Amino acid sequence: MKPAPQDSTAPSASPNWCATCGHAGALGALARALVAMRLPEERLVCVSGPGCAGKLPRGMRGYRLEVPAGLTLTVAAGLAMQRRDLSVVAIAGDMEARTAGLLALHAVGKRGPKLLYLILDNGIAAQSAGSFSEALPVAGAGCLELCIQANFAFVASGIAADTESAATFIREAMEFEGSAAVVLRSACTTFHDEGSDLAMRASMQAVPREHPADDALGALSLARRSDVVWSGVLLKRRRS
Amino acid sequence: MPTPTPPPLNVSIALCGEAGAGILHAGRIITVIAARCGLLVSAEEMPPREFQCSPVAFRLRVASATPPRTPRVPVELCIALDGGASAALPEGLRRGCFCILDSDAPEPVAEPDGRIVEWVRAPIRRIALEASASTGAAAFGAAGIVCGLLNLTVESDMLADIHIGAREPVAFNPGLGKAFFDAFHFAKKEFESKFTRRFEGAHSNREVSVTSIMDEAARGLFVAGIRYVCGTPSGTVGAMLSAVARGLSPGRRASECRVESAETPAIAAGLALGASFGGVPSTIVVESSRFSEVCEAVATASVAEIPLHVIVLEGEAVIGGGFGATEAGGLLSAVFSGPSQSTRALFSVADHARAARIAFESVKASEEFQLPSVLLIQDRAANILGIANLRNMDGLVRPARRRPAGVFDAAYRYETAPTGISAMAVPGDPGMEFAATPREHDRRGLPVEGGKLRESMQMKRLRKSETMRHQLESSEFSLNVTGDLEVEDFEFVAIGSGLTSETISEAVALASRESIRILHLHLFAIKPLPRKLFLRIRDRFEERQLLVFDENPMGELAAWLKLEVGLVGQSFKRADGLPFRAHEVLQRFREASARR
Repeated sequence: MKPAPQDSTAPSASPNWCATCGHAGALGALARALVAMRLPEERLVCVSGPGCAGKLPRGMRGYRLEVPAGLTLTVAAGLAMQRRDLSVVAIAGDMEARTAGLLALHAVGKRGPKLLYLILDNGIAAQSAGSFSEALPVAGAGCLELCIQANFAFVASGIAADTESAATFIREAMEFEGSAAVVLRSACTTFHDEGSDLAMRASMQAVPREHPADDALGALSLARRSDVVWSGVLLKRRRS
Repeated sequence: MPTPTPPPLNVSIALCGEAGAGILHAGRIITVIAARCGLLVSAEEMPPREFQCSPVAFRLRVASATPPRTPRVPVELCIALDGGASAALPEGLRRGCFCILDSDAPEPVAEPDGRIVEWVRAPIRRIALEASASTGAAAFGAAGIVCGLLNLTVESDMLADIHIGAREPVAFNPGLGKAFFDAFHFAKKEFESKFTRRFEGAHSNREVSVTSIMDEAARGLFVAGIRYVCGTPSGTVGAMLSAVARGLSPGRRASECRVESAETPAIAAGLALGASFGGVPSTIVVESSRFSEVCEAVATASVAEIPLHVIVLEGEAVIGGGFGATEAGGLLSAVFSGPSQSTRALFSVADHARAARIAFESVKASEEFQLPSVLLIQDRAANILGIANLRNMDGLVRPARRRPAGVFDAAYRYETAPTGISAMAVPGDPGMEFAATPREHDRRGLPVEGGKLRESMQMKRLRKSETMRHQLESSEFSLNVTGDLEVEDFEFVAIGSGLTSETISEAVALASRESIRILHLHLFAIKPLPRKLFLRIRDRFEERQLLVFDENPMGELAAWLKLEVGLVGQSFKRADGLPFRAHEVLQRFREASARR
């Protein structure tokens, strides 16, 4: 097979997000992490769901697959379980993570394949005219809490605008030998008046140093605090 | 001195009773034992479980030489536990039948024309209940009678792992064994002299393997190189997963094929889709009633041109069976026969006689054309023990058809290749990264809007469809033709699909004795349809000469042929859930011939 021509290194279709979309920070963080890892682009596979978050892989190289809501994580898991030589990233918004993808979250957490589940949490379903995702069936449960309950072995949190820190978590998650979830709070200024980067930064706190990384119950109690946006690794289970 | 070769055994047996599960359990026990004795068995439960509020029957054909494809008329031996139970048997089955009636049963319903030639009373229930009060004793007793009559060499360990009962399984226990052997010896003692004349033969060929339709399908999957099989662990899907696991040799287990028990069909579908995208041939197994849960994954595979194999099991029969009467059929028609060029899949049907071959072919076709391939396994006996013992599988292993060499040279995943089938890079291939997306995309898969691009992609899909049609047109996988259209002069054309294969074949053979010449076309792949052949049939024969046998109440096959090639024929449907029988099909031929 002939190689692709050189001019194709630039993506021909980038994510068409709003100008002030916070997801751009997540894209930057992921790109930074991949550069730091020196991962060959053919070894990277991004599986993404619907909505604004699902457009993120369009700004990247590597293999990509766009799937309907609810399939993102299971498709990524099927790929990761059968192709251990690849680095698999599943990318979804908080809407999918809390609804259609909820059962998949538990199914994948139980199996524990090596993958990164990157959840871009802007608290809004922008593609359906801005309905609030927190008004959804899993009332009160945040994405972090759901990931810990689903037995993900690595769970980290941060804000997309803090690209440098987020890149660190993402790299650590991608190098982790098991299922890892990184929840990045992201701003949607189009539909969410209170969701600006400044507001998020104001409520951001680093994960306490005294919090042991393998303490799932402690991580759960941190995740349940709705007044704080945590930055750091909440849970890193030891694998036997 | 050479050992004399025993005469071949070939007996058709019917068991009937009044609306209970016992007779079905007896049928399954006999099936298992006969198979373990090295006999070839074909079993059928009638009517299907959903309709068992009336007299029921279990039909078997047991043979020592020729593989029995379907239990055929006439029945030579009938065991009836109730006087009115023979009403469960259609008329054609009772002619010339030797019947054993339970001693405690009331007098049988009078047959006006005296078709049942001989009734013998035997204390089947009494013997069994004296031996054991356990649930299922009567079933083991009835099975013992039949095995004794057939002079099978039954050892106690053959019974040890037989479990009966669907909702509350009853494990085998010594009491049930006593019921079986008491009845067995009773039958040998009382009836041996009568039955040795008719059914003599030795049955010790243990080299014959016992396989169900699911085992056969699993063999096809292995030969085709499937490496990941996903489904839910319950019901018939669970049985299929078990069949796959059984078929894995110890050395193969870890490295070559993995069986995944998923929580739901949607999760199974997602896992399989991901693996397929990664270049690992994968299969989803799903029951027809839950096909809707995997539709999204299948449609995504279709649009993104990812080879994905799907097995839809119709073992738990819904009314009529047939490829269109079920939810799966309805959904498939909606998803895959719509006007959109984006949603395409190959669609085949398998009866148990050809399950391995068609499973193999459908996997290979999926890989070759880079599309999802749906295999509908139609067999009402799938959930019991529909044993199709195919010893000669030499024809199965053959190299996959290859795409033209030039196509592999193309650089892009969605290249507008002459065949419409573009190169399939898989993640890990350097310099070949692409996006698989359901949106309109360029040749690397990047979502792009634009009229010119859209037109070129549509044209590419049309070319791919034409390539598929061209290649599948001549494939014996698509259909089975008995007769030469070019040479012979046929009065009628009989068209069927899936399960009706052997029934129609038998009726065609019987009709030929009455000088009714019939061309039999039997479809195994209904999408894409072998259009050229059907167009020739359409142009050459009149409507009244085209007989379409649909095993469903809607006439789906006839509707499909009309939609695809404009072929209009007489549609024969079933609305009672029972399969067609050869004498019914033959009667249709006679009627059509008389009208002509």
